[in-house]
Amino acid sequence: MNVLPSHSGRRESFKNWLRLTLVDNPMFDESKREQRRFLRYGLAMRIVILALFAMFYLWLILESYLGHTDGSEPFCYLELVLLTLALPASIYGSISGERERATWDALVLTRLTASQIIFGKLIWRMRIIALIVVLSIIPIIVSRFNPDSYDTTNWMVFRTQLVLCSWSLLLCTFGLWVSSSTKRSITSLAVITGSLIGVLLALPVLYAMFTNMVSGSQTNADPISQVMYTLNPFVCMGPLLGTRPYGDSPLIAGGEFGYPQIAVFLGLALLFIVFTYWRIIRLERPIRGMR
Amino acid sequence: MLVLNNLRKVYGTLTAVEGTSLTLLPGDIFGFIGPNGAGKTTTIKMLATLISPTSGTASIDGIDVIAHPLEVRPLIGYMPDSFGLYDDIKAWEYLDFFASAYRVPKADRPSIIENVLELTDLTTKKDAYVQTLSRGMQQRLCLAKCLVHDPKVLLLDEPASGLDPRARVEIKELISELGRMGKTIIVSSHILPELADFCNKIGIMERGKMLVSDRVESIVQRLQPSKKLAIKALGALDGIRLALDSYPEVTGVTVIDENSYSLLIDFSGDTTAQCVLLRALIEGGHQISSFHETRMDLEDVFLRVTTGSVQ
Repeated sequence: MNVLPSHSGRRESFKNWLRLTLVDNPMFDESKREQRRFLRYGLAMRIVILALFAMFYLWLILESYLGHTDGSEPFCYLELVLLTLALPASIYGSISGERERATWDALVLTRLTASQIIFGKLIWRMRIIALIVVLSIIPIIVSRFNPDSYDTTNWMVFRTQLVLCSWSLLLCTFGLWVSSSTKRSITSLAVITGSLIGVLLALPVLYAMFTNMVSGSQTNADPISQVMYTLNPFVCMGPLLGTRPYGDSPLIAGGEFGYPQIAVFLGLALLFIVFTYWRIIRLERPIRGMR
Repeated sequence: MLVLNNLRKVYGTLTAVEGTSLTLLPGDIFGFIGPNGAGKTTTIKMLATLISPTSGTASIDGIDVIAHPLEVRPLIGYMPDSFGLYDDIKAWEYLDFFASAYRVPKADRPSIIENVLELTDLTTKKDAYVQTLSRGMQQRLCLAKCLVHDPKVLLLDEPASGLDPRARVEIKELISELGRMGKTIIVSSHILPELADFCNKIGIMERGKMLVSDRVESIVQRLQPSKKLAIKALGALDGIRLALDSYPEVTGVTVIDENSYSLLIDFSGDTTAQCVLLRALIEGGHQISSFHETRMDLEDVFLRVTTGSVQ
């Protein structure tokens, strides 16, 4: 007779799942390997790279404090560009690379679960996101002490950070899904890059061309354009930071701007996690059987 | 321990494996012989739960490979022909990663890693990065990885390919040792001398069909029902041939080389009859410099089987 697990049994198995996925996950070792890849450059090269970065970063902080303009927008754009470039570059080969390297079979024959693989692959990219966000937010906070900065009570800059984090998570999960669906890393990179260019640039431009829409003003745009622009992080950054007027959107009230983007990005990220999970299950279980 | 029953794999119109059956016991080292494309790797991958068979059954330690692949996986150690290793990781870290992936308790891992490193003779390379190891050492490290969870069955696909002669000998010794430890091992190769030394059972595959599979001695016995005795004399062979005609156990005589005075006889008698024959030849005044039984080696067996001599 099939006996359903009790409430405490379910709680135990959930705790066990959490432990295996988030604490005792061998896949976290990947970050150690990535760090070593950097350390391989040799001491002199490492010192040069770190020194150049430190100088640039110090200049950013000083400029934020002493500059005569508000630095929030350029910092946020810089952060967005960094995240949009760095994350796909770090994740495109995460699963297809395992298959190319012929380590995938060895991996699936172990007792690793699909969720351990997914979170193991995501967790150190999340560290990259956290690092970039922290490094970007420091100059932004410093710029708040600049008397020439705009309204210091405007906390939209932090909502922008949440939009950026959810966008980053979406990039990671999309990249992971593409990587799990392709056999070659180069194909994965091409699909991710093509999709980003398509969604962020080509599609809005083509749509605008075909609908004879005049770009620049979103106020009178039709709902499809509204969605495309609202969900484009490069476009929505200006209205978010208040440096450009948002206008009367038929979709989102000005005060709520940012929250729908966060919800959509996180929702899509969750969807891609589910897709990746299914894909890994398919890859690791050519023979029927459930884990 | 390992039972295959009429295992079959079809890709479209191509039958990769046709009705393979096999039974192996603990400690058996089974040599899977066949040319490239014979179906060895496909069979091994089906056993490793990486490919689903079209029909037939397979079980390891009584667990159905097809119905319960996830229960079977901890019981097997699989070493593919083209294995991959992670870069920027030390040998012991590589083993520790797989031990933790197999959920070996953290407290037990250091001693297990020490043991498998010692078994694979890699103790001195414990802290070396895997990309700095030689091909033979990497092969042994991959084998060590297959052992960290103490599997009952080892599936080794061309484990000695691409190795230099010394590394080949080392890996053969290692596999023999694992067989002595009671593990059931399937080793595939298309290089026959590689398997001859340490396999107690062999299976010969060609175009997806298992032509023959049994103990090495049984196959030789089937292919060579009568003994072959090689005789080398110091002078002309005519007298010896005349003398051999009077022995009913001698069923055939073939001159190998007239110039070196050597011939091969088919002999149906036992060891005692063999001794009697040798004594009679010497007492008959024939100058015998060499008299010994020749046995078929794996190469002979393979050639005989794959040319259709045995069905």
